[in-house]
Amino acid sequence: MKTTLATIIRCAIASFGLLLVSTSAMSQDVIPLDTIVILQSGACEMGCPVYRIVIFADGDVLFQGRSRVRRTGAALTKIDPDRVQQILERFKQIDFNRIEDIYGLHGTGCTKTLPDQPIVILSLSTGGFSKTVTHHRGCVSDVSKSISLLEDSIVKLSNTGQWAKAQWAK
Amino acid sequence: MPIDRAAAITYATKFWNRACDDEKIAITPGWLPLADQRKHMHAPASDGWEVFFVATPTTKETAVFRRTVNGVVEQKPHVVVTNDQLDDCTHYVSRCVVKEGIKVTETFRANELITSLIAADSTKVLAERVARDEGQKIIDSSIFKPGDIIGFYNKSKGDRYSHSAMFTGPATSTPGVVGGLTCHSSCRFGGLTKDWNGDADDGWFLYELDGQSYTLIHFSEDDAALMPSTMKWLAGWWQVDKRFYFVEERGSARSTTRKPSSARETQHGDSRAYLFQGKDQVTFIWRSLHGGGAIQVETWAAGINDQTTVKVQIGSAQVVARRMF
Repeated sequence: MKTTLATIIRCAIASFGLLLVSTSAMSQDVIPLDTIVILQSGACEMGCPVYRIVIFADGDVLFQGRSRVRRTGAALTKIDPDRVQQILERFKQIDFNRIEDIYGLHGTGCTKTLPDQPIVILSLSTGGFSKTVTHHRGCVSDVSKSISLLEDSIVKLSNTGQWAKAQWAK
Repeated sequence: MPIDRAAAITYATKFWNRACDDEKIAITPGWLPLADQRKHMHAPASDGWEVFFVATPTTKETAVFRRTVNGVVEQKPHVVVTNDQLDDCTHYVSRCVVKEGIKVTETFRANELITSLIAADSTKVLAERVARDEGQKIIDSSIFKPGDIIGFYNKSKGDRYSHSAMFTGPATSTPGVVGGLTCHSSCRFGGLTKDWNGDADDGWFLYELDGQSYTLIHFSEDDAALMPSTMKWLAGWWQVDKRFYFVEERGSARSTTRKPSSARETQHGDSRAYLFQGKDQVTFIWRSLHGGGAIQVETWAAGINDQTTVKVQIGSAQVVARRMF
């Protein structure tokens, strides 16, 4: 009986913990101070812009253009906390903490994989929750499409779109 | 140095999935000499370490040091070059072309290599920025040979050549059979790719993308020379259906819709053909002078007595070419 009660208590604590993570991680009101969003967009065969974006809780944004982008090297910008909140909201909309870790290429969950698309590594740490999704943008599926839209919105909302835009040397 | 297609294919067969023999890899934005990497990762060539391009569960390929000892593959734990940085396609094609005996300025920029090959005296551009089906007509003609080069032009990616590859040939000469290619970043060799990294795309056209077109560059040094006896009756003005061809003695032709008024008249025309000598025929490969458009492969029956009319095969249709002057 004691064991059963202890088990119930442990389950209750665990459930509360999970609830706490899921609610605090995706809260609409407060941006946890440990919040970091990282988006790394990679290369593709015919040439794709390669860059990294890091977004902090206070709205600081780091951009590193690596190749085939309008701006190469590091750049810093600042966005309104509301925008950080909007980005977190987008993560919540696609149920980021429940989707698979890998989409496309050698992952599962794609009806087919389109060629010449970059792999985007997307990480979210917030409120003690942390997750990384490796996403081949050529992966054809509803989930992949929603991840692509999330990635696009991160670039747009982080005010780095003008730097991340593709540019090729002639 | 005569062209050596076999040497290029032999080289490609060895190096298609590993770093080139000049011990460097093209990365964005430049060269990565492997000497420092070997020292840093304790991977000397003398111990059998080579850089291979391998697929991982999450990325298409990365460059890693590997060697095989007693049949067991060993791999260094650290990556030499990540997928993000690999950009070795044109460097590899340049090396293949050099092995083929062609003088070319080594570069890792696809646009630079392809435009220089287009301008070179040693090449014939059989198709310039055409669609896949048009390019396949040239593959079917058997004029395009292993060791020839394909440039991938992409309108949506900077309006430029963004990739290059070397043709490895079709499995058979049956019309419609897709030939293979070899390239780096990602590494491919016609027929071998899937077993290496699971990727099935290694046809000459690679894959079809919006805005992508193909330029087929043929090295002409080992083509059979056009016979003087052929050119004696072939040179000059011909009418084929509603078009007028001017066949030049040097082995090319121009096409126009404007009827010439005399044998001495020369016109620029809107299409150009290269002529190729066959056993009993001459093959014309026509392309637009403005890029794109349709490719037309014509087979002219050669060696006939009546040299004022010639049977011409255009695809499945047969027409008669008539000498004008």
